[in-house]
Amino acid sequence: MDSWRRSPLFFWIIGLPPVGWLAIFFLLPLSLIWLISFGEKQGIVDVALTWTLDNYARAMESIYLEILLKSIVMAVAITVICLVVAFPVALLISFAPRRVKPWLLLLIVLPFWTNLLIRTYALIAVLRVRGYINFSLEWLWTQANAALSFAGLGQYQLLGARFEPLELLYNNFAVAFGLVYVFLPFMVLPLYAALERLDRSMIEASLDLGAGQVRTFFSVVVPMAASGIVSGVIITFIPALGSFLQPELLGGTDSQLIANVIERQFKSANDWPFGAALSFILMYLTFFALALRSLLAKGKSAMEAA
Amino acid sequence: MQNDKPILSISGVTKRFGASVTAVDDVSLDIREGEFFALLGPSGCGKTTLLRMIAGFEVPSEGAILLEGADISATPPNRRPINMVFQSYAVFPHMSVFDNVAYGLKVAGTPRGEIRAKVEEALSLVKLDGFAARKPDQLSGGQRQRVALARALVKRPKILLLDEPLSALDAKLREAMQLELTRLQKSVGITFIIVTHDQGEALSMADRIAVMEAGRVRQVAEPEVLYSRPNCRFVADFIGKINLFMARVVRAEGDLLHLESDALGHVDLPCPEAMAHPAPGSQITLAVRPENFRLGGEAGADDLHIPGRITDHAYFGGHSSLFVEDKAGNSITVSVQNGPSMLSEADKCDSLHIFCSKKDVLILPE
Repeated sequence: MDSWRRSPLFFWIIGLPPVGWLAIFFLLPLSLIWLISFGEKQGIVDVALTWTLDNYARAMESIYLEILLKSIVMAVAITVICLVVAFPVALLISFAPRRVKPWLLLLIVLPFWTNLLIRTYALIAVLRVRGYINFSLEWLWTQANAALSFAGLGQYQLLGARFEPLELLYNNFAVAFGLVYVFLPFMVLPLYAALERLDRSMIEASLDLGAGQVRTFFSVVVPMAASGIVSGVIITFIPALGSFLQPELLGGTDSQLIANVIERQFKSANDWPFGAALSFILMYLTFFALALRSLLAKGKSAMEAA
Repeated sequence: MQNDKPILSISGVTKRFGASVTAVDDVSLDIREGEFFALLGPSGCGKTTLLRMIAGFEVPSEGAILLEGADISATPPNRRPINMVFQSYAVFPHMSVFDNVAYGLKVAGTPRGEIRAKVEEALSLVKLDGFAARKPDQLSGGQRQRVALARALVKRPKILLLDEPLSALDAKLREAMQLELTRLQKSVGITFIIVTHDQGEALSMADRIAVMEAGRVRQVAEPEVLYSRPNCRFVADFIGKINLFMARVVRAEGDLLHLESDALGHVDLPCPEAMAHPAPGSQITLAVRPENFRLGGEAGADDLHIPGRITDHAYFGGHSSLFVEDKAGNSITVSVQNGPSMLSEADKCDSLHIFCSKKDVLILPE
């Protein structure tokens, strides 16, 4: 029998559904939005395609650029925090005993099985003024005060007259916290995959040659996990840049990110052309970051070959 | 270069993994300065675990490892003047050949100018001049191994450990590397300890060999001694090919044992020095190397002769193995040099006599 690759009929039967799916539900709507971004609003629902660039010009106004910049800074920060937190976690899992490993991986994947909205609301219960963190702190405060009174220092009120709960919710901290929490598994999994492939004798060779644990980590483990770091950074940074649920639910009035602005254009502001233009600017930025990344990778390998 | 002062003393070392696995069982060895020492044994005999304890990757459960008299059992691997060539070579793929070899020097804080000279010297030692800028993925397996070798040698270790260094190479390259490793060892004068399961490798390269089985050392000796005077059945069987015959002790007259074997008939042999005199009636094992049998010709006064017939033969180029069945049905392997007429003559005989000199019959206690 001929190889199935050479049978065109088989190829089309297998290939058509996903290609069709992609065309109808991704390329077509995306093209529509792209066209709308060059249009003008007419009346309440209609959009006339006039090939105007006004929407893009408006997106360049400083108020939007500031929010865009803030979104990028936020996404970079989230990615860096995720990387720093996820690396030890991935290292721990890859070095865990064989029997424990699947359970630890399950713990990482478990949040995926719960709806994002529910998880975010759960965070509100944790962070709010009368939430679990503040309850715990208050309990500690009471215990510490009791201990002080027991020591005869109660009248000085060293810890303040009453417990002051921390303002953890409805600010940028809460947004960052929520985003790190959501994207951590996206960073852990590719890092884990890369570390799992790492030949253990590489680490032993480094130790054998006289390097300490820290030196070995930075000179051997991190560079050899580079592929995992790059995929983790990409799949964390891109969705973090477009996140709108966490700023909406956990953020305060100053926590709006670019995705919230876009969402508002499509919904409450009912300005589809402007929303479409902002969407595409965000997408071009993402493409630009990816292109830069592959260009850097190419330049690096070219430099090494030379 | 070589003297009898031990550079490394392994004394009563035991390694247990969990409650049930004893990988290395009460091993004591002295390795002399400047020698090429081999740990030989079948897979799972504990030789690699022993090597990893010398390197510092495993800590002995009992016993001590002494380097020049100082206990290093608990010293971490990065503080031991001992380097290792890994079975997988473990050449860092993200570094050039130069950076790989320089790594150990950089870590030790060697000045930059010195590093350059030392790395170049090490690379030329392993015949990799001009490869400094290459990446490991541009090298063949044999070249990667040389990088691993240079990377360890550049540190001028007191001892170089090699874990199955030749197992991943093809037969031709393996033979060339055997010669080169011995040449290299003699020229740098560093003590080499090699782990191998290949007896040919150990015999051809090592000054002394420790044969291990099930976590224990069975015999430590020079290759010739190991081959010609194995001290037990396991070593005799593991090193080279050998024919084993069961025999019964009839009586002992001083040092002379009168033995009765159904294959070899009645034999008188002196009892080996290392062996306690066996009681009459007890069973012992006799062993004869295949090349110590002769086919046809005249029997000397001291020769044993066995009548039999050839059942099979296998041709190996320079020599052939003949499988001879004696009257009692024992199969005996006889190795003969292939001359122009040897095989055809031997093939014809349906019944023949094979001879061997009494002094070539080994008595094994187990």
